[in-house]
Amino acid sequence: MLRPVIPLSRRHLLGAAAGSLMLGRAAHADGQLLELSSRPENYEAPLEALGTRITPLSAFYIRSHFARPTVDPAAWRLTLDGLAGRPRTFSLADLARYPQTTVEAVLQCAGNGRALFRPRMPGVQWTRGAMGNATWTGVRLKVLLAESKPASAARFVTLRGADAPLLPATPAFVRSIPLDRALHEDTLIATHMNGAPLTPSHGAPARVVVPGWVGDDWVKWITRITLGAEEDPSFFTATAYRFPSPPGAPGEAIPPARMKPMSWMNTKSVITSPAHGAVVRPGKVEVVGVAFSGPAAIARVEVLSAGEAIEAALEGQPTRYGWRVFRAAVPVEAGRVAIGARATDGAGGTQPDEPVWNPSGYLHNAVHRVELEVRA
Amino acid sequence: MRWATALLIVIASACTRPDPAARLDAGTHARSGAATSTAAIAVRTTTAADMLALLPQSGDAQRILAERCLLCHGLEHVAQQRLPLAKWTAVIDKMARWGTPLAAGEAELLARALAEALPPELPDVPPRRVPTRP
Repeated sequence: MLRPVIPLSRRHLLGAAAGSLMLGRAAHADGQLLELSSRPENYEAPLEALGTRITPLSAFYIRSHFARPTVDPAAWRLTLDGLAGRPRTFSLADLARYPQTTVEAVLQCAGNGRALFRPRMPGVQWTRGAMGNATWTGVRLKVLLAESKPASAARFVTLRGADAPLLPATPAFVRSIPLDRALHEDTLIATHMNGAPLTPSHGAPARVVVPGWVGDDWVKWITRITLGAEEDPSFFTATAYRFPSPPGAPGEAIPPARMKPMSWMNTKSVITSPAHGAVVRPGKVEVVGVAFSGPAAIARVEVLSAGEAIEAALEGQPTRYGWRVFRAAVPVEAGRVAIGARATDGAGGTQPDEPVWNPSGYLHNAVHRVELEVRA
Repeated sequence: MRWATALLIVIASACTRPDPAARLDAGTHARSGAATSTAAIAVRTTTAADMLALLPQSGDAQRILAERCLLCHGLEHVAQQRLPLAKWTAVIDKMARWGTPLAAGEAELLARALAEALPPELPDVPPRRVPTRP
């Protein structure tokens, strides 16, 4: 690939040197992410890097609320407490003695797509790349919870990680999920991602994995799981990460009583190539993307162009929680063309033309359209 | 034309690593919303100091941002928002509840300055590409 001519200023050379120090630390030196913020770490993937079944670490988005904690794996402990007949503490060595389970699952930020809503709302302005598909390996949380003997009054588990806000008045990132989901056989305390130990940015040494559910419950750097009769009353469970049921009009304020915690993801597809604004030749253009859903598996993906819907081929075999790569060859003629993709799941769930507006900008799943310039 | 200048703003972190200079195709990032990046589009980075200088006219707003807001997060968090005054006010109120020290009148001053500099109609600036972190 031709590289552009870069004027070599001393500043650039210093920057390149600093960059190479960074590369030396990176697990995948040839990857690039898009920096929404460096402090705390919030990075999304460029879409062209997401068109494969498994997303490599070099293209896996990173979301954080606070500074990345440094956790000593030897000193790390996971505490299970609260309404537990036998509170327990586990080290990494303890976890390694349990049967290990691997689940392939999409991880998507609740706010993926926030920047696309109108009217706009505050928050990290993700576009479409805050998502990835990986294999997650660890111990089933139900096994660990069984060891702690949950009391009959327990209805929720509250998940706490090692990350912490700087100021005392800032609420910690704490999430509660129903005990039922925590006991689901696919909910994991994962130590590995794509077959390798979790990296610090992805929650080392262990994180919660809730396949099929929105990313806000996949707590990184997990240290404490507390059984309780109620959800945690603090901000990140009681106020944040809630979706209006039913939704209101764009821009409409919603009374708190109508805001419910999110759980399953919704049906979604994203075109990973060609890119929006790309120039292509007349004839057939190969459209590639990924599609995934909540409880019901993807049934079909239609690629939309010039009033026609072409059923895309879905690659590989479906997995319970992973995404499907789709491909379609779309005829295009000279001029400007808009290409869309719409996924439908087995329960008829599909993507709306306009996103379902909500005050926090969550669960964006409107049909993705890319505009192409077609010329010889 | 300040908004046109603002188009060139990308907020660098404290550890700036200059990217190769390239065009910013303003047409791709118009009202239709934040477009996905294309291979042809990169961004001209600037330092946090540059961003401060281009933000709100009032030196007081720049000072407040640098002294108080940067305690917890980088300026990119501020610069990527696109909000009307009422929503800027609500965000700053929340930040104050979360511990940001703000004297009487400073929250309103900051909200007005940010609403003028970063309103909803200002086009998005694509984020810069960086090497993958560990």
